[in-house]
Amino acid sequence: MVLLSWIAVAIILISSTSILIARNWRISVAWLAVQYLAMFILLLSHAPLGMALVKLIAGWVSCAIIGMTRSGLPNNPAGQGIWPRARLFRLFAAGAVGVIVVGVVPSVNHIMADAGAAVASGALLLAGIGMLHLGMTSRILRVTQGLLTTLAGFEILYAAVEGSALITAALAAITLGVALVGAYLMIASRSIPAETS
Amino acid sequence: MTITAPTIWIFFPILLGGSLAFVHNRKFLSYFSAMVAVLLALMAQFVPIDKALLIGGISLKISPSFTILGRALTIASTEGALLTLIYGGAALWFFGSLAIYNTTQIAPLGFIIIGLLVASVAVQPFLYAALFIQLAVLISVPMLVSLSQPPGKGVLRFLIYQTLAMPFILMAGWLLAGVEASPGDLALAVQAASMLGLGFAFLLAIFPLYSWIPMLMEDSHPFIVGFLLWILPTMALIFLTGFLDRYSWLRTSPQLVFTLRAAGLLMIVSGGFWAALERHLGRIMAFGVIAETGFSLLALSLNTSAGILILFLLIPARTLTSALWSFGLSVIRNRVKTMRFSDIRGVLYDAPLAGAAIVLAMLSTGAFPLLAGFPPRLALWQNLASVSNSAALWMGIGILGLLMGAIRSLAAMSITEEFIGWSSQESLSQRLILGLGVIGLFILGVFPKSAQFFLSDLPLMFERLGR
Amino acid sequence: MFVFVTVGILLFAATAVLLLWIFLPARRVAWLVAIGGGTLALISVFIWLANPSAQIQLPAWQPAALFGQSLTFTSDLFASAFALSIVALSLSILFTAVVRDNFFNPLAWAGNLALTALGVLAVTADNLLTLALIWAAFDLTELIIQFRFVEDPKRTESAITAFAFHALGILMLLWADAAGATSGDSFNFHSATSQTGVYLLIAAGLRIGVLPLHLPYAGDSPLRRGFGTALRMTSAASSLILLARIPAGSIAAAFEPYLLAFTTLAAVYGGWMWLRAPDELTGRPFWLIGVGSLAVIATLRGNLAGAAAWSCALILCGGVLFLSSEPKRWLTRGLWVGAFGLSSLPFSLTASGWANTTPIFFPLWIPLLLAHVMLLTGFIRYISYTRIRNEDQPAWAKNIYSIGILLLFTINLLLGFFNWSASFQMGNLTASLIVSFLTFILVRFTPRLRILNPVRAHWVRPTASTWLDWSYQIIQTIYKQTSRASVVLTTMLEGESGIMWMLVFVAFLISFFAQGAP
Repeated sequence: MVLLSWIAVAIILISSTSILIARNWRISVAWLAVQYLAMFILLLSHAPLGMALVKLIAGWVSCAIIGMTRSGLPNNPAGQGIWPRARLFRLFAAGAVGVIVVGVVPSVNHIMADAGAAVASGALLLAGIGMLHLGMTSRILRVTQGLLTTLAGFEILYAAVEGSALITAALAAITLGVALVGAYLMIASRSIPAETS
Repeated sequence: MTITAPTIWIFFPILLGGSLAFVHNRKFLSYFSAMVAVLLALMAQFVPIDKALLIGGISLKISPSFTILGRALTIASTEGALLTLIYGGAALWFFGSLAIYNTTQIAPLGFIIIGLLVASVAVQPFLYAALFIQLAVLISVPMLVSLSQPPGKGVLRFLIYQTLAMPFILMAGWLLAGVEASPGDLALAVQAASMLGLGFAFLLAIFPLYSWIPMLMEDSHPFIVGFLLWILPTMALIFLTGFLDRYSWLRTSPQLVFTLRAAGLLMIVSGGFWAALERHLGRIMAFGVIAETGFSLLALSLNTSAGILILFLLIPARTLTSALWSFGLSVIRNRVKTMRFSDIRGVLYDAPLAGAAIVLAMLSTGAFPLLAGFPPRLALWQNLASVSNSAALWMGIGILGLLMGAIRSLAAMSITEEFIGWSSQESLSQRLILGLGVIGLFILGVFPKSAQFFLSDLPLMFERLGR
Repeated sequence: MFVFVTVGILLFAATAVLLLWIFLPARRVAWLVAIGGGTLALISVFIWLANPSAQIQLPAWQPAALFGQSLTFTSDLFASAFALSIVALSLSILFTAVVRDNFFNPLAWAGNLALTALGVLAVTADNLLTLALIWAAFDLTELIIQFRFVEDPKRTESAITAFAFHALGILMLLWADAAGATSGDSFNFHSATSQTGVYLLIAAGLRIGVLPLHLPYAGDSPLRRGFGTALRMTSAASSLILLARIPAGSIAAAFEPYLLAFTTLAAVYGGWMWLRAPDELTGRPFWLIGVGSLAVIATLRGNLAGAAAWSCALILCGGVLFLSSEPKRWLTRGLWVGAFGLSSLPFSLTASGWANTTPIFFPLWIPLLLAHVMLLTGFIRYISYTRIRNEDQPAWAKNIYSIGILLLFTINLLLGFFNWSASFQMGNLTASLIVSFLTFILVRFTPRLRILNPVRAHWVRPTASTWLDWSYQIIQTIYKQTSRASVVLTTMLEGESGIMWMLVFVAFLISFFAQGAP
């Protein structure tokens, strides 16, 4: 289980970084779905299967919602961000987050009732790269992905200490809600993120 | 017959809101929603919870709790006054939507938001409130942006900042439970408090996390933003007070008092600073709202029963001021290209009541005597000065900025190249609502006792702080 | 209780005039109602004197745990003197209205009566809360009136500027209240400490335009003689009462020299501009500044009776001059009563103005007395101005006009002799004789010395306020620079990098979190 958890952490590292650097929206949504799968694996070390499944399904449904909405919108290659679009810069920023995570994992693990280094690493990676994502873009699709990533990180950590059904249901509703709101805003703006199809 | 309080004040409004989403008749929506909100407010004030009533031979009892997924939603009798205030305040907005175009969504979504926020007060354990607040935030997005208009950046930032609040607060709640179990662990206590501070910094939009408020006021309909900027911070403040009430070590911590005071002053001073320099009417309201939250934080920082009394005295003033201010802005918005100072020259002569309402609401926020905001600010200033002279001075500087904002707005609306003459273009319903609002502002300002009917029982919500 | 009787009469009369104007617009009975109300109000003020120092306390604000003060009114001798002055002025304005071109103006009469009612409430206010509320009511009413009557955009700007300074005065008053709370006082006028006295003085100074020196209504007044006089004088009275309420010794010694210096400067400036103004109405704002400064000086010297005396002189002497428009010889001669009232000679209204109290830095007497001389010289010069005869006026109107002017003379003399702390005094004989002598010389020399001659009306504003404009220019520049800096900061926080800044903030807090201690 420990090995599986570390594999999940590796997937999280790859998927979250890929979402950050991907220019094609289909690829980034696909990586988001993979990210939820890795989250599911990490959740299994503390939460019952049923609860972990709820989160996985909510995450995948969210991916489906934003993917389907995005697919119905025209492309708009014009960018809005002021931040360097170079992948190298984004990789560097993700690397910086990774370094910070490595530094704080032991103390966070200690605080979170010894949730496990893998769980803490995965959760902090998701939260950190999610926040980085939020700071780097103002495009609706990317903001939605950033929020979902950050929330996924938090959910992994929180599941280690809290197993309430109400919380699980509410967090699943929030995940779906964020995706729906993202979809709504995308439709409202008719805007297209900078990714090329 | 037994009915639960959450059914009446949480589930019914949510279901009603969902049903009203399919109604498009503005007048019906406005009248009906306002009437239902008033009815719910009256019931909260006059129908006792957990006591049997005999109505025409039928015994009716409102039980306080409702269990869902193993957790309880409980509305105690002490919370009746808060419900009265919340539903009463909502009625102002619902009724106000009668005279403002493009606000039909305020009643349906407003009911759902209020239902969720009442659930945030009712849920046990109370720290789960963050989840319900987050759901309310998500529901409010369609209210701010219609499908026919592209969303501004303010909405996105609102969504981001409010969403980030929830994880921090939930985590802090869990850490606080750990602190209770081992009170001697100072490091854990500091960590918990930092988490909590961060969570509330996002939720209450504390400097510098409030950039979304002016952006939203610029992008979205002021009446709708006004509603959200009233209900969300008010409930978040109640939630924060709940935290302080629940954890005695937190309540008695001198660091907390310092942090709350510093945050409050930062909000008031920065809000006043920008209000004094801003050149957009809507954004000035945003900074007024920011300062308003600062006043509430300062009241909490007093950490006394007087502080709680001031906190609750601030609520009705904030409700009326926000409603009137956003209503006035909405009336003016329909007559001008933008609400920038360069575009509103002379608008006071076209919409004198709306202009006057805006200026009076601003003055009220700036503690101008006779107006609703004055009594709580006076009490706050006096109480603050008795514990810290320098803090009182900073509060004064913030107030000065707010007053400058009011005076500059008045100048921008009234000074023209040449005299254009008075000709009120406001509709009858707009005049009626604005007139009533202005009268209310003066009544609350001269007779603060008039609000005591609702407020006297409010502190009882908090077992330790309020008694 | 009698305070409310007076206020009630005034408000009732104002309402009645308004209703008559709305429902019977053609009938001139409204003027009679206004005169009746004013007369009854004046009589009722005299009744106060039967029970001096009576206090009325309204129920305290709720919750009682938060509000220690309640609205309180007093009818002591200072309050009576002020009330007598403003009610007399109000009545005089109504009497003299009959000779004005725009006589039939019920809205102005009602406004006059309502303002007077607020003025009476202000001068009888016995604590800061009460005064702050009345000031606010007064300022809002004044602002609405200005907007209603003024049709020149520049005047609108002036009205807003005046409102801004008045609001600042209220804020200073509230700050005094808060500072009083610091020292643990349940704050009222009688318990002002050295911490709070200075704020009260600045609050009054801000409202009358003395501290810092500012002239929102400089130049011509669109409301001119009648209603304009009511507006300016009652507004000044409502602020000046505070000077008579600040207890002696409650102004910190450290601030006194600076305040004295600023106020002296304002007094000299006001006096000089008053002397050089082309006519009394153009000079009115400088009259307010000049005499108001002398009242502030009296307070700074701990001479409360003197402050009250100067204030009453400002209203009564100023009032009689600004309302005089008819060339009646005996009335013009009667204006010398006003000059006597202002002279600080024994048994005059201002006899106590220079009374020996706290000694001041001796050389400061020179500019102070000079300011007084200029004010008095200007007053005498305006008395002697030729007034244009209006042949169309019927005899009855001229007689009624005379009653109005006579009323102010009478109250002026009455307050000089009547038994209150500022009256029936020898005062500072040396100062008053020097002032009278210098005034005599100046009056004689005015026609011969070009520098003392009035400037043309359209020159008043620019020449008068060069250095004032310059100082405001500096403030404006600072404001603009701050505004630019705020735009940069706003762009940073609201621009695309805003969330990155937020992340920096979060990282900063999380570093606390990771360390476990801040």
